[in-house]
Amino acid sequence: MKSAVNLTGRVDFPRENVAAQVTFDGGVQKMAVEWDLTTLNLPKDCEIKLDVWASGTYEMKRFFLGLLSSGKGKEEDIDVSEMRNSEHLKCRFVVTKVQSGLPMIVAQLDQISVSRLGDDDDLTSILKIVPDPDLTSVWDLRIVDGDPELRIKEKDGMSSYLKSEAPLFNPLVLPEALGKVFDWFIASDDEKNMDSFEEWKLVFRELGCDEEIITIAESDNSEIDTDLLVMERRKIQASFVSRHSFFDSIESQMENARSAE
Amino acid sequence: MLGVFNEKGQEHWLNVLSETQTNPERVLVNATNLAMNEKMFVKLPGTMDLRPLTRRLDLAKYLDLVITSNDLLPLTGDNKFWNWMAARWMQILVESDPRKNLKRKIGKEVERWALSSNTLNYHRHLVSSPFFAFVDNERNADKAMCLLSTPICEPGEVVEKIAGKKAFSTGSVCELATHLYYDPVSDGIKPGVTVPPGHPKGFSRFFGQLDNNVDYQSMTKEQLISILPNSFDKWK
Repeated sequence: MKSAVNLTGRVDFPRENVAAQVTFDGGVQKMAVEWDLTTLNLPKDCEIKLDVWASGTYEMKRFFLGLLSSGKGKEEDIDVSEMRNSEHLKCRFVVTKVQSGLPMIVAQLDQISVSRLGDDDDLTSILKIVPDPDLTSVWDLRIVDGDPELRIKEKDGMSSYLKSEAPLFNPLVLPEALGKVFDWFIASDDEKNMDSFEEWKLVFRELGCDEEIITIAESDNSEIDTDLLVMERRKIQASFVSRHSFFDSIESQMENARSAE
Repeated sequence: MLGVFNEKGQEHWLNVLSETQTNPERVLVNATNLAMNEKMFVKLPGTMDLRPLTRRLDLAKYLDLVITSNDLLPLTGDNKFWNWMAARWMQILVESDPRKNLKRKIGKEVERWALSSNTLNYHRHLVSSPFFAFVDNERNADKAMCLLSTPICEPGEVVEKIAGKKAFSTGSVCELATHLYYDPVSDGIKPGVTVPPGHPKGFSRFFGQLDNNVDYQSMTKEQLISILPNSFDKWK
């Protein structure tokens, strides 16, 4: 299996260290970027750059964010009003240092998703949820026309209750449903709607999926290290659970139940 | 007339293109009919003349004029806009190609005429790709002639390898590829560039190896030339 060797000691820093959001300030479209590199112990004379591009086009702009001199977390508003496709922006955060005359990348984070104010980042905004009266289980993840669908048992409003009101349904079901979507995403022989595949690729990247795994998913490679996939599946589920504070949600339900007793 | 396909138009366009190798004559007629069928697209303000263009640079400049003068830049990220454009332009572009073989002129790959959300093949779209190569190189054609000097219906290996990766398709890397592979005297791609060593595939491989370690996009063309291996000497 192909593996990457990092000969230069480049740091691929954690996704939570950078956040980017498009905002509107007096009618001008800006991108608010926040970053925190304090834990990485990078040389202070490093330069920080941000590549912003519109997904699916050649459009790309580079912004110089200054020197890493202060050692503190930073934030910056970037004017992206001239970008044609600001609805589909992605970023790459690059920290460079000139060594032997070459601008070497000492740290980076690629494929940063840019949120927009008002964006719905709930998994349910991408995963189709369909009531199904014929379902013999409470829920199931089906692939329909190459697109994953979460089927929920429908009986006298049961699906609506589970989806919107049952407090434990989302914390317990969505991570496992996500795992099943990952199985579909990585499987070489499963039918795939490519539009859907591309959307899920973004979701998995955002959840920290390894680029090597994404390359495997794109390449229809049937020789895959199963252990690696199992680990990656768990990692993505954990990232999802953590991001949506599902443990907090369950604890809160437990406390409510105890206090009601 | 200008337009953007609706969902139905988009779907029909892919159906039309499924016949490129079995009935190319019908594809040309159906493309024009589809682009003119008002049930299949949303009409946009503004006008556009179809012209018998053959070179990517000329198409890029003309589309830039049409798009900017009609305030359509925000639509250039919409696949349905480019697919309507492709349907509208297909017949005249194919008929302007002096080659005889109609199947070859149209080509068998659907992505030559249809954009999908799969960005891996985005650069292959014959109508949008020249536009992006021109506009995203700050409308400075001199720096992007490696992507703009070839025929519209026959973009060639240099376009495939250089436009195929976002980091190569703009800025100093694109300028470097133009320096290596474009001949300003003949105003075309240098003969023999596809033969290794120093060919576009090698170019792509070399910079691909630096991707994660060297911020080559921040280097000037001259700096990039200085780090190229000897295998590129004959094109320097």
